[in-house]
Amino acid sequence: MAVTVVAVLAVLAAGYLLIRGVLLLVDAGDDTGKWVEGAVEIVLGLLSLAIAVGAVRVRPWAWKLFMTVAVVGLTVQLLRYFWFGDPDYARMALQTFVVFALTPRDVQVAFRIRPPANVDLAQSTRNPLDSD
Amino acid sequence: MSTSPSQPGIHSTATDLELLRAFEPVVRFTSGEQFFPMDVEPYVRSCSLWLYHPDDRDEQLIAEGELSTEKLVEARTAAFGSLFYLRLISPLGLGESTRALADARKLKRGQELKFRAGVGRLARGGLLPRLGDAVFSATLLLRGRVPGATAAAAELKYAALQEQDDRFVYHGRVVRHGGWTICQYWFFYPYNNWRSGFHGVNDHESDWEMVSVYLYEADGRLQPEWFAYASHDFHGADLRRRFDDPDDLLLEGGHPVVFAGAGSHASYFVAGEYQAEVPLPVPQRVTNLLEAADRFWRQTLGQGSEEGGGLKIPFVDYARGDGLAVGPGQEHEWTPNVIDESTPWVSAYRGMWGLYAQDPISGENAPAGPMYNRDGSVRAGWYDPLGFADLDKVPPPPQELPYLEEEARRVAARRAELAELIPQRADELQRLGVELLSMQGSPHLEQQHGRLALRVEAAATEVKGLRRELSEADAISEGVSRQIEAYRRGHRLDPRAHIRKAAVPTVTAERRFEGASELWAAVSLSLLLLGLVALLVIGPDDPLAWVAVFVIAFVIGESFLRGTFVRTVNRVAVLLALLTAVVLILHFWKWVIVVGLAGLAVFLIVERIRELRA
Repeated sequence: MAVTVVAVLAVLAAGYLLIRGVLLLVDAGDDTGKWVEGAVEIVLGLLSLAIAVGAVRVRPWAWKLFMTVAVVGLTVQLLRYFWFGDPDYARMALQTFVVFALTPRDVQVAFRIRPPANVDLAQSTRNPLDSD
Repeated sequence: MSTSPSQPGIHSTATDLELLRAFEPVVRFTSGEQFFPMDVEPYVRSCSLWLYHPDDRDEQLIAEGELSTEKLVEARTAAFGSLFYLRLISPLGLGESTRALADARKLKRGQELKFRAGVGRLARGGLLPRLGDAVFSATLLLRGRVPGATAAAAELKYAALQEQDDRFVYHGRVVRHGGWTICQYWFFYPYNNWRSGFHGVNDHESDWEMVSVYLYEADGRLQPEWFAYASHDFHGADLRRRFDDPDDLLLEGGHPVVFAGAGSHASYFVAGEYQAEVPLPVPQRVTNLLEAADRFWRQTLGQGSEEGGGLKIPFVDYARGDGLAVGPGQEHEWTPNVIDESTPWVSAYRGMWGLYAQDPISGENAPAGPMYNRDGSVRAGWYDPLGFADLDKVPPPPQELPYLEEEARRVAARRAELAELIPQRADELQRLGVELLSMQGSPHLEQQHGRLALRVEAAATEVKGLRRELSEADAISEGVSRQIEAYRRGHRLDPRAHIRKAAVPTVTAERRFEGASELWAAVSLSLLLLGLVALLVIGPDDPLAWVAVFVIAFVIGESFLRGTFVRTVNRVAVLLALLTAVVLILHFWKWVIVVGLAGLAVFLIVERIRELRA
């Protein structure tokens, strides 16, 4: 389930970036800045598609790449928020979800980033057979 | 690892000196060690005696050259809050300090065995411990510390003392407690130069270290069973190893081998480099805050390792054993000096054996003697040598089987008693239960019912307790029987079963770009600070934005060199995500609540419909 969520988030990110990239290119005209920005968005969108494929196949590189992209993206969004007054809240929210989706131990275990935790036999339960 | 599989022993009528000599340790030092165990007499003669007054005044009582152990123990009175202390190195002026440093450098150049740090301690930790290290160094400016040139002057003074008397001395004590005969070997070093000589935690004048050998008597001979070494951060049972320990204990002809930490002189069983982690000395409130943040980070966010954290600074205690060796069969032999409570300098002088640096956390203050703590109270290791190594609950081997058999008899008797008692009590309980039930439907018996219900409850608790005790007695009986059987067959408990935390030499993780990461570890923090200074001086439009980018890039770049990229990226990402989550909640709090409630509503509907369909 958690891996599926990661893959869905990657697809969503890819869709968002590709659509935004295409719209920027369509709207670019003679504006070189927009051409560059659109191209970057499309490249990032394709990267996200690759990550989605990697996530479905539970590849460690997909986790690492997705997390790295999220760090760069969140840094950019925070800079835009605090210093340039021009944040992209949708992207900010998406990348925040990505980080929290990639962080739980079971997700990291699934992607072979961390080893599984030791079983804790001392954990209390509500089963009367487990109590004193 | 033991080189002597058969136990050595000595006749039980041996004198204390013979006992000490029979089991005296071999101490292997690290190449480059400057100070070695010596006799206290020449040390005291080269010191001055001082009194620290509660009004923060130091008074010299006896000048250097006039002091002796006889004068040291003369009866003196002082006000509460006062401290007597020795001073090996008198306060140095600028000229004397410069001369001492230059002469010590010359002395070191002439010595054959030199110290090489190898993999630097800073390269063993991340950026945060390095930042902590910088703060720790800064606290030395605020805390009391042994002045920088003191170590150099101490080296010169010790070299001069060695020219007059080049013996290697231990002060040995034999004490008998609880069926054990304990040989304590106290090593006195004139100076601890761990910080100034080996990048360690502290420097202080004088240093006392101790190794104990625990002997038991069998067939008229005393045989060694346990060896306990005093080392940093370890206590109780973790300090000792049994004579047949397969992993740690090294015996050479029946003599335990001790690997002494360079400068710190802490004792280790195995040669190597030990990472000593020192918590940053910060106020309690800051510590509580850091711990709360650490718990949130670790337990709520699932970050970091399971071991728990806190801001700790890595220091290395080098106990390589590649330098001078002292002991039986080595290039240098010991000269023993037997001590006990009747030795005047042991019992009659409660002061410190070196400079009182007024360090509130005591790292730079000299220790007191073998018998006393710094506050003048008696050391636990002196009055309770068994408890020191958590051996007070361990009988000598010849007593183990009789004690086990006695325990087996006691448990068997109790089991028989319980086997008889439980059916009686259970029967009573059932009768009471029936009586209680018979009162149902009789409103006039309400009060009696209440009283009886309490009795039934008490009786049920008692029966439950007795049954539990029987089940535990069965398990204990089984364990004791198994142990008796093992003893009779000649098997003993695992020699390492008592160890909870053993000192293990660090294995330097394989790092990428070895040389580069060493250099990086040494200069990274300074580069980070210089980078920040440059940004502030150059003054771009948004300096703080650039500082943020610079710090993140720096941390991630560092993680590449340390091979911790994945962990670091995850940590940075979680921090950034927490920040963006706060931003999003502040901006869209209404939508966050709307989406949250709507999501909860949909979830509940789906769950309930699924339940209805099931």
